[in-house]
Amino acid sequence: MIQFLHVTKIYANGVKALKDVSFYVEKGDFVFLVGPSGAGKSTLLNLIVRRETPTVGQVNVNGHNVARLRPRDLPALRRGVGYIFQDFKLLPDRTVFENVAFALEVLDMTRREIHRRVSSVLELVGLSDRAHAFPHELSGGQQQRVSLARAVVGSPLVLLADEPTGNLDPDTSWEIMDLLLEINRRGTTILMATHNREIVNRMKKRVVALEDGRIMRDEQRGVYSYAD
Amino acid sequence: MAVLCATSSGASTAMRISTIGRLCGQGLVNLARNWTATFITFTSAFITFFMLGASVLFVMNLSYASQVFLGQLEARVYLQPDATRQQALELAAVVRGLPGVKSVQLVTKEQALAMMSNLTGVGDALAAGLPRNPLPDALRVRAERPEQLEKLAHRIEGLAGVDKVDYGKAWLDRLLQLARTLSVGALAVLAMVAVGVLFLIVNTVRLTILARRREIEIMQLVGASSGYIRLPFVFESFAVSLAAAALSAVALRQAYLALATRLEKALPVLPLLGNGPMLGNALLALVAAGAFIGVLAGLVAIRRYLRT
Ligand SMILES: Nc1ncnc2c1ncn2[C@@H]1O[C@H](COP(=O)(O)OP(=O)(O)OP(=O)(O)O)[C@@H](O)[C@H]1O
Ligand SMILES: [Mg+2]
Repeated sequence: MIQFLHVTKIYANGVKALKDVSFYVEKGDFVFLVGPSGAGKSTLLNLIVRRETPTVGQVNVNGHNVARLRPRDLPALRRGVGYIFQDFKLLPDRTVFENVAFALEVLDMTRREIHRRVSSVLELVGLSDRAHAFPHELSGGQQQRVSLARAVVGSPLVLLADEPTGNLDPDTSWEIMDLLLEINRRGTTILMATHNREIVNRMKKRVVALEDGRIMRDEQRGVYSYAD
Repeated sequence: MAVLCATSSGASTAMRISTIGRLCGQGLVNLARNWTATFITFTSAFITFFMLGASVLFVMNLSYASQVFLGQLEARVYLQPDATRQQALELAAVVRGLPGVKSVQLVTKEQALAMMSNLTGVGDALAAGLPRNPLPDALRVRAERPEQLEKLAHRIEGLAGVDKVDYGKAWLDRLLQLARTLSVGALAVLAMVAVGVLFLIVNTVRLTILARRREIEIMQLVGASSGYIRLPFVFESFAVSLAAAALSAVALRQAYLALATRLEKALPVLPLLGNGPMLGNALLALVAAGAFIGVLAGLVAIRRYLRT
């Protein structure tokens, strides 16, 4: 499903964020991406949806070289890949409902279909009663859940989650993890970047550990084990 | 080709009508939100389209007037002095049969002399003083198309019995040249003015794009097609430009007709286009140009922000 082949990413300012990274993610996998701050986790996720392009090497999604996609094929890729951003990326002048509906509006769905799907996904993330609140009226954790709702409302085949539990208390974090597991069980491939040691250790999923832009470990039922 | 097709809908690039309507409505909302910029752009676009239309009308009138003047041009064919009246009539018939000839009129030497004495005022004294009429018979020839007059004149020059043909070559050439220079000059100014309007509108749309950059970024990240992202902005600039062009067409029509009425009174010899289909078409073309420039400006303004 997702394949990195000797990927090196050097930003315009000269920062080497990824160095010769290769790995493969099977369809339906659940993969944790761990590593200290600045290790290159967000960079790696951004390469998958072509927010960035590799300096060297190749990223393939579903057999297609992402850097080589024609501009008009890019939307199809991004519709298939939901993304929970580290900084949420919510629109401040739109309500929770509108923020989530936004992802479906661009898919040209009918009002009714949008309403049905948004309502049910807000139910799923437990924000039905805040549907008409604006982002600045929400707590960090609630905003994070809106971001999650928007990422999954289009039933993507792949879900990229950049620290989806970063702002949550332990209980809510586990609720979010249950949700992600459920989404994963329904067949969505998930890549989750996280600093949450407890979650990684308890879930016993595949762990890819990055350090300074290199893959240090890639274990099937791995743990979060580097000194923070 | 679907790279990844997660949702059943949205795979096609065509949009539903209601979506198009919603996006265009968004464009109008943008205009209302930035109403000061909208107002400034609208006003400047209005003035520029007015000038644009005025230059078009000027060029059209120029070409109309030169057509009228040229249409009045004629070639004068002088027969050899010893030609008989019979030969003159025969030649007139031959010339009438040439392709491109509109009319042929015989001016006999007697008529010519009479005209001359009338004109000079010396009249009969002169006529009486002459041993015999020195003027030859002549033909006044008009061409169907003024540009053909020169060719026609050369052709007639070669006919038997013709002494010389006078078709006001220098004057004709100068008039054609003047008309051409003025049209080219006006069109060059026109083109620059049109580019000016274009950038004016581009800048206005850019303002709303800047205000909604974040939204555009997220739209791109959730997989909106570029057509979807573009539409509100393109419609926005289309609407401003079209409205400005339409209003300037209305204003121009009033102003032009008022001016034409006055000029006709003051300078009756000046041929002017009236309130006919030509004027209507020119104004419609102005409105169409407004719509076109609007769409183009929107596309130019958004182009840079759609790169990924
Ligand atoms: N757009 C950018 N331009 C230049 N350098 C960047 C850019 N984005 C990230 N970097 C640099 O690349 C390196 C990797 O950053 P990245 O965001 O991928 O780390 P991360 O593992 O996600 O960290 P965190 O856990 O703090 O989110 C860092 O040194 C960062 O400063
Ligand atoms: Mg990060």
